[in-house]
Amino acid sequence: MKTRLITLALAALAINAIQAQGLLGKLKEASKPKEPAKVEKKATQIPDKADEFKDEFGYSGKYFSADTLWYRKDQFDQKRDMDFALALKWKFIREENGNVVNKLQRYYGEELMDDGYNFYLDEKSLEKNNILIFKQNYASNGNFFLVMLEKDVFGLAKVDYYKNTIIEYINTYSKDQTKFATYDKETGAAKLQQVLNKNKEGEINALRAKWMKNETYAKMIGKIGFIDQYSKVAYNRNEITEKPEAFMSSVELGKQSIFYRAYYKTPGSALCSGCELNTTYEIDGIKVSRIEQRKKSSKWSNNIKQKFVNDDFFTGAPTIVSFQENIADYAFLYCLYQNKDKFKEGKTFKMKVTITTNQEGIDKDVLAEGTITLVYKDANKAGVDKMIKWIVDLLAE
Amino acid sequence: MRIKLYYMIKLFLISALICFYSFLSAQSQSELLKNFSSVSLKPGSVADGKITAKPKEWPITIETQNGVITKITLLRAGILEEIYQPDVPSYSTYFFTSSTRLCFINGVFAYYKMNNGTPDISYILSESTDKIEKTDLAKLKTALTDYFSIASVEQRSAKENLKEDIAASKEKEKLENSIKGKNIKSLEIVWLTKDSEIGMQSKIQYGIKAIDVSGKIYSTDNLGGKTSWEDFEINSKGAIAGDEYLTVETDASKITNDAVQLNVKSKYHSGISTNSSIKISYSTPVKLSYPGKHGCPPLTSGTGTGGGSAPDAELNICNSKDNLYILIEVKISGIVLHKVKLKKEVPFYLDVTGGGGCSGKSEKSSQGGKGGNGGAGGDIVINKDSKLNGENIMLYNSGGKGGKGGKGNPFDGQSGNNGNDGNKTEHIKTIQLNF
Repeated sequence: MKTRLITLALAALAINAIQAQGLLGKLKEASKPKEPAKVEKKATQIPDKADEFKDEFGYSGKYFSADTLWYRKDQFDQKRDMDFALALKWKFIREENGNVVNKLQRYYGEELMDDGYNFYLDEKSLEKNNILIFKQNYASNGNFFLVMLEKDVFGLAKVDYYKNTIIEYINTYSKDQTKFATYDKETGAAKLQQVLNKNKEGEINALRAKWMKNETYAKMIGKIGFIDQYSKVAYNRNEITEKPEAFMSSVELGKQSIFYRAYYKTPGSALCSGCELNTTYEIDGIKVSRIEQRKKSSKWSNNIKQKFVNDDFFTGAPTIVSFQENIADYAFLYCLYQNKDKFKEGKTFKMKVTITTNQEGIDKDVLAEGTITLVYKDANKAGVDKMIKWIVDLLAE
Repeated sequence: MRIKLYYMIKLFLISALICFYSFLSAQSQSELLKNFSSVSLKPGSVADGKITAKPKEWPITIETQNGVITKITLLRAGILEEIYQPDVPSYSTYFFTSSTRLCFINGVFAYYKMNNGTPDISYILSESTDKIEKTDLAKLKTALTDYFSIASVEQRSAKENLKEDIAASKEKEKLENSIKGKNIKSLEIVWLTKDSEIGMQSKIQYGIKAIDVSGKIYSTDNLGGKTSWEDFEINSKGAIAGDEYLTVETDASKITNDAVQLNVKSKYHSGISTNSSIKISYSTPVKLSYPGKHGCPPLTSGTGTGGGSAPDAELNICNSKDNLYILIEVKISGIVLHKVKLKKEVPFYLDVTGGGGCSGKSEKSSQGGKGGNGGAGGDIVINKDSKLNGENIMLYNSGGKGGKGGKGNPFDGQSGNNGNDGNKTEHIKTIQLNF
């Protein structure tokens, strides 16, 4: 009993000591200067700009946003302290100081958005393909596009201009809020990509129509023209200044260099995106394909460069053989090498060159083809021997 | 007991072998999707290396024929129809449209684009969100690459068959337009170049028509048809024969009656051939070029390689007997290589300039290499007939330019010397040529 009493007394003392420590702490806190009590700012919806913008095309007006638009969210990432908006006012400016500008301004409350980088109407897409796109062009790795998904509904996305693909779908804007049930972000992205694809198709058709006005392109479409100096065709990939007469139909083997320019009806990327580009040489029934040859071994892979399809309607001036620079396409050389025993004074050989898209080793679409007559003359034997030596050296490696 | 153990070991070995084999082999997409029955897929978008599950489903329809998938229709986000076909129908490893691809791997679909030979995944699609959330993107990418690598071996014979099928289909199309197997009664050559535009070195464009007994015409592409040039055997005299174009020779002794003769035979009908000729007006300039070789490349040392010397040339020039043409016999290094015929006043060019020297090698911490010397221009001897008139001869035999000195530190290399100009010697004497 005595032990119990002593234990209880010690426990009571300990509790008192703890309480006393707590009180002391509270007293210390109370003696510190008081900070103002933290009051949480309530997020406030800012009022829309009072102006009711209108224009003859119906682009202006109030657009609801699928996402809540937090005030400068990118800079202050604490939504609770910020104002927000649920809609923007758009103002389409057709003319400014007597000039047509086709500019789109977006207002967040009373504040002009987009930091002065306005969106501008892509007039070409509208005129040529009846597709409405406003483009804001300042990002180095992509452009911001506002694309009309349907009347009064726009998708905003960052787009890789060269690949014609969406980098990031950002938001959907609509004059009618009920449209958001249809256009969630995935649907918006899919629809926007569909519009971009249609626009690209239209662009390809428009470009083809433009090139068809060029006499050389119109005559050479789907064909390959051969030249002995690359300067005979425009250096610039975007120009066709040569006349069809610039191309040769025969060449003295070993004397003249051979380059070519191929003219495509449709760019390879539109037919088989991501595919390789193949060139096949055929002389007297012997065929050598660049892609098949480069897969034979590492030495072939090192000497035949892999090429992919692109957006071009015509090539630059790729080299088949250049005696000026001492370079050649090894696939051509190998084809020539396999025919070397047939070379006799004055004998001619037809060489067919075919350019195709190639999907994992299978030639798909023929982009262009051409035939040139190779003339063998003993007078040019040194040049022929030089080409044969190049390939013999490679085979001996 | 011993028998049981034996069977257990045997079973273990068989399982191990199956596992080993399945590791080394890859099933086709048709096999992998054999039991796939879902009609809708849940998407997970891929951005910055992360997968984010999305709520809206993508309907999918898989069409098969004898257990082989022939077509997949995917309704992206429920609105965008994408139709995929197998890469190799009998052994598919992926499905493709002209821009995107689909591959079923590790129980999910990878939705991707090829970028310089590498798959760039933008969506993961699966029957369940759970599978998407559990997908390790890095592992999926590796699995995809490994799958293609192993499958490409398994696919080899199927691919060869596909290549043969494609070749057969092309051959079939070619045959439809070919004269092979058709009852051809005659051939016709259509000249597409005017004779007033034809001289030596000119290209003469022509097309071929083949007419069958019913009057049906098979023509080459430049006449609006699809008949292959390979259906014909083409020979010419006075020009180098080629498909669609002939190139007029620069040796008048090979030209008869100032015309190019063309003979076209059917490869598939003995006795069916045609001849035609076109007059040469000799009204276009002739340019002969025998320059020295340029020094570049290879650059074997600091000093640029020198340009080669051009060969010497000799020209014998007179008027034709009827005094309408200029006749030029061209000897290069003492051998007659060309017998040129031109209308009066039409230019003739001969280029025997020396080859240019290559630039010297640039150095970062020493003097740049010396430029290679230019090659010497060829000497030209011109023998003119005393009565010659109406000639328009342009000769170029300057020495090749010396290569520029390579950039260096502190001094640039010296430029190479220009090659010596060739001599031009003119003799007036009696020249008689007859071609």
